[in-house]
Order: sequence, then C-alpha cells, then structure tokens
Amino acid sequence: MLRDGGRRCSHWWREVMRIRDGGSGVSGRWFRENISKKVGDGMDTLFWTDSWVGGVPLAVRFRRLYDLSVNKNCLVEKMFAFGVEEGGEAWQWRRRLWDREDELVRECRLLLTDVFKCFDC
Amino acid sequence: MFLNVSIADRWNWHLDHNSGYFVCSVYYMLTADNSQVVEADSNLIWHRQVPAEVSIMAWRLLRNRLLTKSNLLARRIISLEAQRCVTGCGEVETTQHLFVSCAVFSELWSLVRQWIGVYEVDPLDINQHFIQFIYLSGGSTKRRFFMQLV
Repeated sequence: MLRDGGRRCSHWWREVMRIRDGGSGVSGRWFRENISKKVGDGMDTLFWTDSWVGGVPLAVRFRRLYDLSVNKNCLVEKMFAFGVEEGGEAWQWRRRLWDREDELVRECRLLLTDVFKCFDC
Repeated sequence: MFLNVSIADRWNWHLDHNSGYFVCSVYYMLTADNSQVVEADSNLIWHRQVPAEVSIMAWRLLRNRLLTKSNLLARRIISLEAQRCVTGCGEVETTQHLFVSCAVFSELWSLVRQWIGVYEVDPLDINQHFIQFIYLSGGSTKRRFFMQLV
C-alpha cells in the first residue's frame, strides 16, 4: 500500500496519490471509476474494497454489510476459503443481522453466483 | 463457486478494455469534460491570502471577461482595425494571445520561472496554464505571482 508522506513530500507525488484515491477537484473520481480487477486466484484482490464484481466495490454497493463485516480487509481468495455459500464462514458480522440485512447478504451472494456462472461458460 | 487458481489477478483499465492502458484514452476522457476544470479553477482562484482584486482579475481572465481588444470588438466598442495586440506584434489581441502566446508577454513567464527556479513547458490553453502554474508552485501563496504579472 502506497501512501503520501504528508506535507514534506513533493506536491507532484501528493497529486498522484490524490488521483488514485479519488479526491475532489481536478482529479475527481475518474481514475477509481475506470479501473477494476479481473480475478484469477483472488490472491491480490480485496473482497470488499476493490472493484471486481458488478462494476463497483462491494463495500460501496453493500455499504451496510461492509460496515458490519468482521473481515473488512480480506482477500477474495481468503473469503472463498472461508466459504461464501449460505452460512459460510466468510459472512461473519459484528452483531446479529436484521432480516433486511440478511436479505442484502442473499443479494450479494446472488451477485457472486451470477458472476461465477459467467466465468464457467 | 470456485476461483481460477491458475491465473493471477490483474488490473483492468475500462477505457481500453482489451488492449491495456493508453495515455490518450485518459487524455480524451479528461478533456471531454470541461466542467471539472472550471470547478477546480474557482477553488483555486479564491484564497484569503490573495488580495480580492487579484482574485477577481483571475476570475475574469479565466472566463474570458477581461477587456481585451477582441472582446471590445465583440461588443462593438472598437473598430476592426483597432483589434491588434498592444505590443504591435500584429496578432489579434485575444485573452489567450495576450497572456500566453504573445511573444512579448510570454517572455514574462520564463522570467518568473527562472526567478522561482522551476522549468517546464507552458500549455497553450489559459485554463491549463493557470492550473499547471499553481500546482507547480505548490499552491496558495505563490499563486499571486501569476497575477502580479498582469
């Protein structure tokens, strides 16, 4: 993970970091919105915060679930190893989910299933 | 649901789907939407360390609202013959010409750059010029150099 060095680093470098992180102003979100991950073994892709299914990061699409998730920084590979099927270990939450939130998990799993159907065919 | 363990994850750049990444696609994307630039300008123009009249001048400059001869002509205040640049270089006195491309005044830019000790190529577009100059000099305080030339 690259970070800028605060006020002491070069302005140019700070600007590069700002573009990557999608700040406001000139740079906007154009960079972040135009990259995604193509997942192979899942060893280099973050499950929640990288954009790898459905065009936006799962953390954005399922904000509520991400907030509640215990495994915020897990790789895709790790989550699959935990098991993303219904009741799988990957779905660990900071508290019991409400019905509405269970519904979100189903929706999220459906999205994953859809994607993997496409991979197979 | 299984991952494909034989392939490593890789990045995708959406604008050039299959071919990797090209600078030109980014260039076209960013230049196609000018509203972003204008928005940035207005954040950069107004600053409490910059005197108000300087900010107002910059604001009018970037919107091409200064009374250059070509603008005066457009409002029928001066005649067609009178629209040449004040330096006598023979070109039409537009904002872009007066502040960037005029041989006489563009010299000032290189003098300023020498003075603050940086080297670069000036963009020909006045908005780009403004933004590049500000980022180059590190923002706020030096921003006023830009306007003091005027």
